[in-house]
Amino acid sequence: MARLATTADVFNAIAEPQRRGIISMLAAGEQSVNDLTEQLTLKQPQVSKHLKVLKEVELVSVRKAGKQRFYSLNATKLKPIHDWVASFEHLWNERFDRLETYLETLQSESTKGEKHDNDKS
Amino acid sequence: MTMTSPNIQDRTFEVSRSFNAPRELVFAAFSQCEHLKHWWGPKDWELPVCEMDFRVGGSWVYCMRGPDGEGGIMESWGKWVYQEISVPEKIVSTDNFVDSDGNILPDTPDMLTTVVFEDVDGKTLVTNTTVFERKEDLDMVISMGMAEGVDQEFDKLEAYLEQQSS
Repeated sequence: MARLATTADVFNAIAEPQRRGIISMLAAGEQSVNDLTEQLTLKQPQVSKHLKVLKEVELVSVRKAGKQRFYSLNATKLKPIHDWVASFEHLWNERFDRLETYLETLQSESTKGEKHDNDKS
Repeated sequence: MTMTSPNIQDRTFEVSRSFNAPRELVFAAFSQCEHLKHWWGPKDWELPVCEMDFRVGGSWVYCMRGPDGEGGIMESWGKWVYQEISVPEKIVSTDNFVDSDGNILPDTPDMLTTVVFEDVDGKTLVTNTTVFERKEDLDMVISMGMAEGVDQEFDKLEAYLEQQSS
């Protein structure tokens, strides 16, 4: 029986740059192995090997039509990774927003202070 | 779909922003509690605890406290231990989740955070890079994110069951 794919497995699967390339291409829609091979500068057995890894973690599904095999993306499997990245970016964006406002406040205060000093002189 | 922002194979996440302020001031905003308490937490969060010994080998322990919400007040403690300091250019430090005594929480990731400050076109470009020391750590953080989602599912289930039994 096939082992259940874990997040760690999905993570490993997308850690390989060529496989991320395949995922990006499949994000545009279903592709045959031939289409993928043509667009990536890889040999067909390599493409098939990558597709096998992606299929094992259920990132892609396959449809047979005659002699052709068509692959498509299961984007939901990427969601945990996407969510984490989004939350990390979200936290830092909030921090940076607050820092931006704070720096503006600080600088406008110091400008006022300087003006004040000038008034006195 | 784009997956360009994080460099996943290097276990690295990078965010940057350009600030309209002198580099010395921006650096100070990262290295002095009197500044950090104004902005370090997420939106509407406070920084009630900020203890910093800003030197290589020194540490910074902070507590971020969330607004009083449905689930009560949320607190998150963090600890940095400075590995490299170059005023006003760079801060490198280990970065951990800790308890209120500053002890590293078990089963949380070891991170290495680098903040770089650069003069670019009269502004200060800040780049934060967080590296997860081990790949398993990143997996763990991802699963922590998933656990949150699971909690929400359980909340829904609980509400549903209450509704059914009433």
